[in-house]
Amino acid sequence: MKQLRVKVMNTVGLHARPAAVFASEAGRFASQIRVRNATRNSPWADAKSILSVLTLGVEQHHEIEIVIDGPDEEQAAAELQRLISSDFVGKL
Amino acid sequence: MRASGDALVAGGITTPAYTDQMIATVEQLGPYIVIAPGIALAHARPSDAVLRPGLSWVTLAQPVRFGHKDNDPVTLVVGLAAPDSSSHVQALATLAGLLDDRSRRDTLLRAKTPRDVLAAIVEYERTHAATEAVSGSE
Repeated sequence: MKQLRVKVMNTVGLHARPAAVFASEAGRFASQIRVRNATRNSPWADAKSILSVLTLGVEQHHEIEIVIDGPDEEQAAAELQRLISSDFVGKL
Repeated sequence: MRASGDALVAGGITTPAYTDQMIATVEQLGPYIVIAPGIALAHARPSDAVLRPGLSWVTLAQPVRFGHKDNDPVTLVVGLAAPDSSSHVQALATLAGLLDDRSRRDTLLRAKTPRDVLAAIVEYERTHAATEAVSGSE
């Protein structure tokens, strides 16, 4: 199992389009991926569902926690970390 | 898209410029606004065209294809407007919570009258507020 914590720098947070990109990137992996808004102490949500990600209300400078469990967890952790910390470069 | 914008204007939530901004957003950025099966979220960035926070709810008599690979065709267009980024994210979170439950989403998609939609939203807000009160007391 891999766990990571990243700060969202995008000016609109994980709002409609970044949330859609995040969920679609998460959906490329076989592993189970869950995400929560650590800043808000939110419940866990399914990272592969846009609606679930949107319920977290992630704003700019909020920190999110991601837990990944499955056969491709290493690769998923690396790519999701890069996606968020690069502020979705080339993906929006 | 235009109908959902017109409803926002009619409700005193936005000026007509916001409708054009919503349409430009989907034309530039594509069908990602179809956030769930059958449901499109019409919105644009917070701007001067937003007079107050609000949403509109437009059910389409004829389903429309937006070009989304999984969630087409669209039968419900929700128009969302918020004056700043933070309230936009939180309005979206509330709306997503409303739609995330499959049975509630089906009820909302089948709603035939504004009264049915309002009843489902009021019920959600009632249970949602109760849940928050419980988690807040822990």
